[in-house]
Amino acid sequence: MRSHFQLSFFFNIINGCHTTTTDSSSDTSSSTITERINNQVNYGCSSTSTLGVLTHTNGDSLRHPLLNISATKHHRRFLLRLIHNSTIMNKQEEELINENTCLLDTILPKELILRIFSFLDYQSLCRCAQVSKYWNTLALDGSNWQSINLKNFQRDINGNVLENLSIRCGKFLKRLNIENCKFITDHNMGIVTNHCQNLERLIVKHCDKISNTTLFYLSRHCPYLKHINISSCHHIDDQGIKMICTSCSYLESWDISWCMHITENGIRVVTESCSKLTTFKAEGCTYMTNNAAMHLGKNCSKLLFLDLNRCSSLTDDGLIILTQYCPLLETLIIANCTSLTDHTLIALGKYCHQLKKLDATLCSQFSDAGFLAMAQGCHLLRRIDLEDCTAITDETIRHLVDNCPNIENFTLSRCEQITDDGVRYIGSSVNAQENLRVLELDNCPSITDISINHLLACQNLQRLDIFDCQQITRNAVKRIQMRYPHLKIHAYFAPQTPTPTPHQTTTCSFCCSTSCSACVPSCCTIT
Amino acid sequence: MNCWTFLSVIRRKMVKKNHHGGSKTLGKLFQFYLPTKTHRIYSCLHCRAQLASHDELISKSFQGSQGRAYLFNSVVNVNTSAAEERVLLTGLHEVADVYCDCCKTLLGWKYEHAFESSQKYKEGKFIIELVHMIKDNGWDDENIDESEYLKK
Repeated sequence: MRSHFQLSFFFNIINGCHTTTTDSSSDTSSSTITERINNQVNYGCSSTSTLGVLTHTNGDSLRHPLLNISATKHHRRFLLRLIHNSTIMNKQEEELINENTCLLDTILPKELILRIFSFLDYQSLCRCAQVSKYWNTLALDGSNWQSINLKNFQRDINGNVLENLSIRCGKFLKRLNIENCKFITDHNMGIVTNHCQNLERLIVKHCDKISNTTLFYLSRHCPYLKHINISSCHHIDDQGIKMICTSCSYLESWDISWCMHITENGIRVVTESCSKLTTFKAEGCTYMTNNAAMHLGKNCSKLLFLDLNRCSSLTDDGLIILTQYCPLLETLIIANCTSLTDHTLIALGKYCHQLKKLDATLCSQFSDAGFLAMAQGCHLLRRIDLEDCTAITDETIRHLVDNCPNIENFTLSRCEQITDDGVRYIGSSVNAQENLRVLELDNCPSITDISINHLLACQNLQRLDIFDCQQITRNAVKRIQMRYPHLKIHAYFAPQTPTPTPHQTTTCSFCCSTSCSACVPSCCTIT
Repeated sequence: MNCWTFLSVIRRKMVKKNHHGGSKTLGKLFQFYLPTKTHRIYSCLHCRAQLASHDELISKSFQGSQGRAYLFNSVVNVNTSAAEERVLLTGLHEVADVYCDCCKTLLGWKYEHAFESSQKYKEGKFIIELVHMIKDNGWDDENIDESEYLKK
């Protein structure tokens, strides 16, 4: 960054000091110059679009800052010589600058002020715009208004606010997030899309008033749309999908989670027109049937991210076709798709060799054989969530640890059959010792302190969940915490009340009632 | 202080989010959001309002009236009703029903007071039934534009 802006000064000096007369009437011209320059460099998505391009300035930033900021003596001497040889600023303007501009404006170069502004939120940006004419042009510079996220303002965002914002941002606005701004209507969106025709990403999640009409406006005005999130907008149905898909040909990311009125046909339309689709999220979409999955697979071979959480209609047939046609798949979420069996895992291992993240929560039919097949094909696996995959045993851990060296996040919550042996595989694997970051073993009743000992070998572990494991003691947790003080251990030991009993018992850590050590404690049952 | 330290201070200030732990009054929001980099978030199944962070989870092995239930240290986007005394399997407790703020579904309860000393640790904690929750691993966070975090 340092050398970057020094370079820009270099260019400015080589081009000579082109100063414009800084009288009040030229203010509008300077802002249009900024806009034009921004328009030129707007194809790159960087927020500092004015870096190194501005040749007009108020002159102030050119002379003094070099001498103050330049790092080495050598540089300073060189630049001094350069300054003296270049066009010397008009004496009058120099006086004007010295008297009327604030020290901050003279010392901080324009590019740097813009860079600082790029971190500010909108309220601060608007306040900065009221400070001075110079700051007004900088705060309202298009580079600061490319990306707007209003999800934390919610009730404050009514139609007027959004419309005025869109007028100000105009063609600079590329990414707009109005999640949970429930006052926004289709009419407002019509005005927004009309002004912001370069929109690339739009998130209208939870905006219940939004309907097909908004999608119609988008199809009319925003042809460059790449990413759209209409999750939980329950008024939208296949009609709207059809409208937007006919005109927005660059769409590559769709989120239709929880849109209960989009059917198989709507999904088919999406897949047929968006052959470049990389991200598809359809959480909770009961209409995500095998047929829809087949269309998705056959038309969108570039799919990278697929979220099918709670798509309970899906069975092996749909997933097998999907995996067959989407070899680039990196993230697959099939949590709560309880009808899936090992056939899906086998297909994954056969076709999706790029798979990095798999969420199979509650896929209770997945067994060791399936995971063996999957692990043998998906060597790049990094995160795997097997919560409630109750059929798996230590063998699955062995298959995964042997075949997938890059596993960083491993979730085995509620996998009742996992024992200390399984954890031993993890602890003794050289790859896991190096790469494992997160391990979740909560609710595995057979896990004992021996597992904690095995895990002492995992040097880069950042998070360990072992709550609800009745046989884990405080001492073991203390031991591993002392060895790795930065390790975040999720364990809970309720304050104990003394219960002396002569025979073999275990104590439930929650209600401290005792039961036979062979039985699974059922004491914390509340009705 | 030179411009570089100035820059880093601004950046740190902007990235630090306001943390409101515990149950939250909404005021100007329809729904309160937990910090973006949370490991895992549990949300209401019916309206997808965020309920709790995985870091606040204490136990998954509780039983509620409709099946499994989780015990949380703190939750957001919920409202509690008046406390009443109930006899549970673990003894007499004073509990207050807990409702989702956004869709008004009954989610579980909050332990206001425990009459037995062995149960005291539950006071102030929340039980949310699993049938009303969805779990979100947040694996798509990496797709989100970095600037969206900074613009709040």
